[in-house]
Parts: sequence; C-alpha cells; structure tokens
Amino acid sequence: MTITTKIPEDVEVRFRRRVEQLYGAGGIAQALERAIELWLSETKDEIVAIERKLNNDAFRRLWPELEEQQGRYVVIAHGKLQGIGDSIESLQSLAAGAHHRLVFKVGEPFPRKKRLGWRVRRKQRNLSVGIAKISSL
Amino acid sequence: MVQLDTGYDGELLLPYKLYQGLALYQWEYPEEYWAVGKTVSGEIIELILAKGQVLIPKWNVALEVFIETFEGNEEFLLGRSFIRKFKVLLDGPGNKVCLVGAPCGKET
Repeated sequence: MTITTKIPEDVEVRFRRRVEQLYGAGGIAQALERAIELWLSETKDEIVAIERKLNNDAFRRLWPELEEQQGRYVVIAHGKLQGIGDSIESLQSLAAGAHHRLVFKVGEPFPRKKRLGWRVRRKQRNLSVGIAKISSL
Repeated sequence: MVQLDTGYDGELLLPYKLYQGLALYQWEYPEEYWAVGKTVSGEIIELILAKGQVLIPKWNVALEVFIETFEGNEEFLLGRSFIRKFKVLLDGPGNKVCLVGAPCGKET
C-alpha cells in the first residue's frame, strides 16, 4: 500500500527522532505498521458501537415480522436479518466477520430489573440509559 | 477466580474488559432485552446482555447462561440465578464457595 499524506512538521521531527532511537535507519515502515495496529485496536470499541446501533435499529424495524418467530433464534448483523433457526448452533457461523451481532431467542422471558449485589458500583457514567422498550417482548 | 454474590440476582456478571476480550458483543441480545440494575447505593445501571456457555469439565457440562456487563465494570460474579441450578457449600475454614452437586439432570 502506498499513501502520500502531509503531517505537521513538528510531529514529523519527533516521529523521525523516535524511529531512529527505536529502530535505527529505515524503521519508518515498522513504526507506521505498529501505529496502524495500535489505532485499529484502539478504535475497536467505536466500530462495535456503530454496528450495535445499526443492528438494534434493524431489530426495531424487523420486530413486527420477528415477533411471529416465537421460540426461534435470530441473527442480525450488518444492519440486516442474517438468518432464523431452531438452535443457536445452527446460526453461529452467520456473519462471523461482523464486529457486532445480535443473536437471540425471540420472546425469551428475561427480568428487566436486577439487584447488583454488594460489590458492584459504577466506575464511570453510562450514557446509554433511556432506550425505548418494546412492551410485547 | 469468580466470586459468588447472593445479592446479585442475575447469572453471570463479567468485567467489561473480559466481555470485550471474549468478543461477546458478537452474541449480544437486543437493547430491548437489557435489564436495569440497581446497586446497593441506589445507582441505576443499564446492563448489556449476551448469551454464552459456562463449561464445567469435572461434570462434563456446558451451561447456557445469560451474561451481563456494563461499561467500567470490574467485578466478576456468579449470581443467584446461576447457583439455583446447584447445591452450594459455603466452606468458611477454606475461605471458599464450592459447587458440590452437578446441575439438575447430571450426576456428580
């Protein structure tokens, strides 16, 4: 891959100096590869969050037809219905390359309120409270 | 080591980083299924929900369980819904909790 781009001069100076210290002459490719790997790792949460929203939007859109599949398993990924089956195992290979998937049993009862016990406490603010609930689940 | 917390009424609460490390977001339930948890201090936290398996090699069983977490969680807990399937020994002198019976339908 060949990319031509311009970076601020002071960043370039610091970058070249650090590359020289760590890898010696000709180490730029090695440093860039490491930087890209680090960036890919650091942005994993962001891509999961984007696909999570896409898939949950698809779930809400698809719910009227999914509601008729009581007791069956469903996979939603890439913002689309990927498949419906009678067991979770039969669906596990669907959209295996997706960063996020919804895999669930339609109509499965699940308590909406939980006690978190003695140990759990919040370490940081959760900003995603307040999602509309589908009452017929 | 996973701890038992009888004050937690779910099955398995994972540290958020472990949830990510196991890529359980690829087995997630829709947000409409997510529960709201309340801490002892009254904080309300929305719990991400996924399904997974707990393997117990000694009994050769794989239990399908609901797994919950939330961003920033560092606790790794088994809750009441999980131990409901077992006989549990509180071993005070040994400072541990033991599952002494295989889950319903399995021999020990």
